[in-house]
Amino acid sequence: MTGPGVSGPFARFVGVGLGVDVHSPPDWRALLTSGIPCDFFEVYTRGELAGAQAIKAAAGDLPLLYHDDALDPAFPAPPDAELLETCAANMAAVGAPWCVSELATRRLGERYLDFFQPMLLNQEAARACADNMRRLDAALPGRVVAENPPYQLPVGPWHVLDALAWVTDAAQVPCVLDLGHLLSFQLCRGLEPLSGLDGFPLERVWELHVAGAQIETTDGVALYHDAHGAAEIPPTLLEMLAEVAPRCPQLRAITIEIEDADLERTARQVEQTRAAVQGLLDARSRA
Amino acid sequence: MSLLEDMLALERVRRRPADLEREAQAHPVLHTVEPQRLRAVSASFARHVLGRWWQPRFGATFSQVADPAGLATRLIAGDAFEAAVGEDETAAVLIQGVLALREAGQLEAPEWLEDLLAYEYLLEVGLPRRAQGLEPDAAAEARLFVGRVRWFEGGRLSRPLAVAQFAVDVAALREGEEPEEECPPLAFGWDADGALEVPLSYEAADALELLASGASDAVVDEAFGEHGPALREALTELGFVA
Repeated sequence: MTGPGVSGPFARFVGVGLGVDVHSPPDWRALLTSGIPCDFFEVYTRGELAGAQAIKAAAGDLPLLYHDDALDPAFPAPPDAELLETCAANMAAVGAPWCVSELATRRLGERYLDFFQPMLLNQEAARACADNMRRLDAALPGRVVAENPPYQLPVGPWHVLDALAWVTDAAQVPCVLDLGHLLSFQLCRGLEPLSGLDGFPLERVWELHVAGAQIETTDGVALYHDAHGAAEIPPTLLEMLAEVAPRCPQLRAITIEIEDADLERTARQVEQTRAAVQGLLDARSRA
Repeated sequence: MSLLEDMLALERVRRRPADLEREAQAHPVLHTVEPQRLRAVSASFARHVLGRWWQPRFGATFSQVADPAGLATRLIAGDAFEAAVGEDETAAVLIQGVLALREAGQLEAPEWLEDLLAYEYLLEVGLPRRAQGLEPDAAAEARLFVGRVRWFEGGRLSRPLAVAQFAVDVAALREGEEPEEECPPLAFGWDADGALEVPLSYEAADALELLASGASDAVVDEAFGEHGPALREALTELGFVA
């Protein structure tokens, strides 16, 4: 249902890792020596190959994934060849078996938006995303994994989980379920945090994301700000994680996106996240 | 309508929520947008852009505006926003927007707001871009600088210079201090290491203009009488004159 698998550590559940941006705090070198439990890094380099190479050289045996943020798969045209080449080079440099790509775009043609415009929630948009995910999956040195984007203003009749299911089915790719992004959508529609999950093909979920966030309510409108390490993880997200993670039979990675956190907050978020999935971690140790 | 056109329309209504009904007539998918949520998202986006694009570079200018968030809301709604270079790296969106609002009498701020904007622009954009060999937005600069900033190069000058005359003590305002009554001309130089700012006397500013045109020592001395030699010496010590 999701195309080829991967070999190496990520062929099975690895554990709880950290999404680190080589350009933002906390310093990934400090994380490596901090003693904070970490089963892998998911690396954001914004395309800077030297950053990817440096982290690979220092990481030792720590498994690495790659998170791209420039391929813009929701833009209805094939990915830019140069950006694709850069992504492939970064993936290869860190030895990532897959690359995470959000179903969103930061550019509309030549225009830079300064925000991710998430995919519109209809079939035409889903088809465009699926076409691009298929192209990426064929062109990259590992798999591409589709991530549900954050929403403050969903446009279109579909539920985001229906859109993610449609895209991953049509492109035959696995997915990341970002639980904060899912919560952002549910808040927009006034739905329960896990509404729509029962019909979702959870066997396609290879990775789960959690991150800090701020929820601002103005004039009765709740806006989810995906703050990563600049805020605490909302308790609702940890409850969602505890509920969803054991239901994903192909789960390989749980990533805490910690960009802009300090070490103290990072340690706290790792502890909270590990506690939410302690059963899975224990089962991994016994395997 | 194509998907791309729908996406562009969404981007527009996010900046101009009042246009939702009209845009939805051409882009039916926008009928699924909640107007109240759209207004909240638009206001949040304006605050985000203000905090990220403009406040760090033009904090003093925005601090003098009666409603900074309201200004940001109007700037993101303007046509110029669609032509922004990156995060308004040339400041053209800000300059064109502020000047248009001032001309229309729709921006409540002190009368010297454009002077402060021009000063912050010089420090944050105009000079750094020149030092890095990047092109400024010539049209925006020309509108903002008229009557305030002159550029000198060549003649007997050893480096390109900008000489500015502002209506208020912009340097103090930028530092959050009480402005002095006197606001003498300021000379600005730039190179790869950064920018240089030096207060000048009115005579020195005029002498620079003469020297930039290639005037000889005799011409300068004739123009400034007994002050001529001292002016030339001071400008040479500053490294402005070869």
